[in-house]
Amino acid sequence: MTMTTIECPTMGALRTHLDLPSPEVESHLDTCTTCRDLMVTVAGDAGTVNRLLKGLTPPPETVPEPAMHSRSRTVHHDVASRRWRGFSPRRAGDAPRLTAGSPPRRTVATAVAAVLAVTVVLTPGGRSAVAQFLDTFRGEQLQVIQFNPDELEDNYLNDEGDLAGLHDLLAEAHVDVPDPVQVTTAEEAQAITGLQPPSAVTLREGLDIPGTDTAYVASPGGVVTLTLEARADNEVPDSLDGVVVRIAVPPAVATVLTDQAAMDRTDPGEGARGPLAAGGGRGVLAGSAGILEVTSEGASLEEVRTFLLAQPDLPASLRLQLQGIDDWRNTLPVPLPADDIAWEDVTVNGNEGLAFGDDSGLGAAILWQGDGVVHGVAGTQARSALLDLAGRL
Amino acid sequence: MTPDEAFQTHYHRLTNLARRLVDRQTAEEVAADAIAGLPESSVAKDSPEVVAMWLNRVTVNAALNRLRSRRRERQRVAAHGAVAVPTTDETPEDQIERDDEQRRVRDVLARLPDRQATALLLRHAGHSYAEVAMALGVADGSVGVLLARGERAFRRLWDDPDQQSQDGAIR
Repeated sequence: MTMTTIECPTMGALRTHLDLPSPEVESHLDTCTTCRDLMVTVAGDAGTVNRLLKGLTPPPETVPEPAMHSRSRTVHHDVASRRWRGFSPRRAGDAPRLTAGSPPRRTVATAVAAVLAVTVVLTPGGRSAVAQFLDTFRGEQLQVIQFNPDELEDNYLNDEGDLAGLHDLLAEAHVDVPDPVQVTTAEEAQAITGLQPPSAVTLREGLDIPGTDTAYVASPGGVVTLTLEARADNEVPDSLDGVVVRIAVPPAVATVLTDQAAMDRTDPGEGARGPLAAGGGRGVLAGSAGILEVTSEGASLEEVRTFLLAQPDLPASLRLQLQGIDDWRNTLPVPLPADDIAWEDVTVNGNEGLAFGDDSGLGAAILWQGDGVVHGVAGTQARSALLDLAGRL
Repeated sequence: MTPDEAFQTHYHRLTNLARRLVDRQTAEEVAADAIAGLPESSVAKDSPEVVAMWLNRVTVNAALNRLRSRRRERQRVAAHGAVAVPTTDETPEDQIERDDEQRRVRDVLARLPDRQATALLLRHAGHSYAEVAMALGVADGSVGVLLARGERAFRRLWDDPDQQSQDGAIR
């Protein structure tokens, strides 16, 4: 009897083989009964769907010439439904919340940790037809999820932003995500990440940041692997024992402009916190990152998701928000502290995005997705200025 | 490409694509809307291939949304015991749409996740793997996965319509 081996092609490769035959797959099918059986299923599915979809082919010559100038439009908005939620005005001397106390390295690391935490703990999933098949989540669109930081930190995050609350559920957690590094040239940043950092020249245009220094932050991305373990002292069901969840953290790159003169005027303690720190420092950070992807092996992502969302320590409001994401397979939850940061939906170059902060100049950010990349701009400028800048990147 | 050129180049193809999911009038609307949204899109100045695939995706998504909306409407009508009465101005295309098998096929497509439904529709309409990948913004190698998962989910829903739908457990 032939056993399934690590060389077995994926279901996707088998499906592709139907349309674009591969000698390697063909050779494998000659020797692997498991894959042959799977191939029968894949081919049967494809044949059934092909027959049924052919029935939808419209009859020829049914389409009249377009009456183009009389046609109505339905997609006409630069700023979509405005949803200001619990905005608390900050005092003039307050730090910009999006960047306070965080040099670029720390900012990016914290953002990655936050996204990871929310994604790992809360990312929904789906059910695959075949247990061995890797079920995939791709964070291709963005949705704000508001949470109470105290509740989340108490239950899931320790002071370092680690997933403390998850440890009871895991046999092991392997994090292979190098820290972001700061480099001096765009070429170095691109070599590390494969992503072109935003142009410093473009960032300067229209922004009042005199005497700016330029730096680049690059994170090559990596993988976090979590293995669930069913034990007597935890709630992991036997069906999820040994299930592996892999989070592919995408590479990320950012260009950072800082007003060094203003930095020099701040007290050393604040200045040491980084170029965009509070106390008069001004700057802007613009960057891009690939799409975060989560896969599971041994059980469907939906099963993992259902289990995680049922954890009693998960704040109820957070659970409800996450359960309410319709297109959860492609939606990356963006965690925002509730009642702390104003946000609204915006459109950047035709792509859906989110704008955070306000026009006070104390701190704002724009986040949008396009062409398989998540883009962001943050800084000590008015939100409207950053939105204009986002449109030019 | 000017709006006029875009209509001349893409309108007929997009309408035929949407026509697989919705009636002719709706297909014309979603095709026109997709083309009208092109100038503001991020791909407006990209290559003709990228533009064409972007329009495919937008059109199919819009048609799927219309389809789901109508499906929900039918469910509401059914839940209240009302009888759907054919309209007196039905076109031949409307009559075809009411064909039981076609309606079931569209219902199943509407219950699939967008990306799977779009992949199935484009591939079975004759588009290459590269074109499907371009339309969905994924790597070429991901198309096989989307097709396999979509076809598996489609067949399970086709064989057992009472299974959980898009928001449920079937993937």
